Amino acid sequence: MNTHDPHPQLKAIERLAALLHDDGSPEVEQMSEEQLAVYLKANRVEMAQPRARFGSLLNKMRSRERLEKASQMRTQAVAKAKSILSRGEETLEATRERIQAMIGKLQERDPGRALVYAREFQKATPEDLKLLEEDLLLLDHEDDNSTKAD
Amino acid sequence: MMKLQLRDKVALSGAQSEAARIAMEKPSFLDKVTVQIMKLARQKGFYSPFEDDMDLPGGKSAADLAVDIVEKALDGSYTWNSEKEPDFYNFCVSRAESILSNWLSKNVKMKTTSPLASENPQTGEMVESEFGSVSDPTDPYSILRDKDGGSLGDKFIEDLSLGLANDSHEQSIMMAVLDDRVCANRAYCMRKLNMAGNDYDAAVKRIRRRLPEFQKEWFKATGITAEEWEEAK
Repeated sequence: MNTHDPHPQLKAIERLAALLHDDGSPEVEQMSEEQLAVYLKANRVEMAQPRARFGSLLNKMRSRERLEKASQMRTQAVAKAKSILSRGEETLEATRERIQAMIGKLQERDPGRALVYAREFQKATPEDLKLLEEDLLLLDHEDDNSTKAD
Repeated sequence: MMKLQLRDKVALSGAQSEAARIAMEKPSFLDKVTVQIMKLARQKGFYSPFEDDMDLPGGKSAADLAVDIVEKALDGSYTWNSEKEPDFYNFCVSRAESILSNWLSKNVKMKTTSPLASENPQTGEMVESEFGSVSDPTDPYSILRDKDGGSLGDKFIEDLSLGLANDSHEQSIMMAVLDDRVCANRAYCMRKLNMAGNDYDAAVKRIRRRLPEFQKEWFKATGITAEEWEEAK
């Protein structure tokens, strides 16, 4: 709420001026859109140019906001991409750990074979790891089945 | 000598910019600020009793001032503390209030016509002067308001009152204006004088009709000319 002084200290001539220009219209907060327009028209306030300037300020703000949002979205997109990449690295690391565990398990049953897989593991590229893991899983599965058969 | 320290302007951005934009998009935002400025200016005695014109000193309209304020709030010339005043409209109105008060205090001091930055008495921040000059020495209203601390204006009102029909509504209004420091608005004056709206409005119309002619006669009779006033200053 505005807190202007409703009774500023005026000289007598200023009080007369204020009084003569008081048309008894309601407080601004109580005025409807139509009343405001009528008030401005009645007092011959030229609004075309100020409205144009105001409209241009508003348009500039909207453009700036759009730019700010676009910039924010870019930043968010970069952050998201980084997060996906780091998650990819985590997955790779997890695959390595799983393979190492499976080679360790294989070594107990078949040290020769485990050695072959250990060598392949050492020179494996990230793309090779997936295949290596699948091979070891199949091998593990086969071994489990043969143990059960025995 | 006072040192002027101008702070860097920081344009509104982020949530503040969005809040200002939403306020500005409300219907009649500009009309409301403009009318509020006009009403504030009227209450502060800005408008000459001898003219219908409601432009501010320097020929600036209330609507121009409203847009100037919005522009300066957006570009960071004025600092909007949205935590202290969350409503952008209220902030703009408070700026208008302080600009008008600032102008009045400058007018009283009669010190400068500088368009350079000056200190806002309320916030302490440096603001550019809104008006190129503080007073028009040839304007009868400025003369009556400023000469001898306003006592010339008192004499003018007294003489005008005495020239009006005895015990008329218009004479009562003029005497009330002279005697009562609060009598500066229609509602209060009507109440004080126990006058009906129609009677009051008709009396004010008669005063307004009488004023331009009386003003010319009075200045001629008292021998106060614009040149003398300029010299006295």
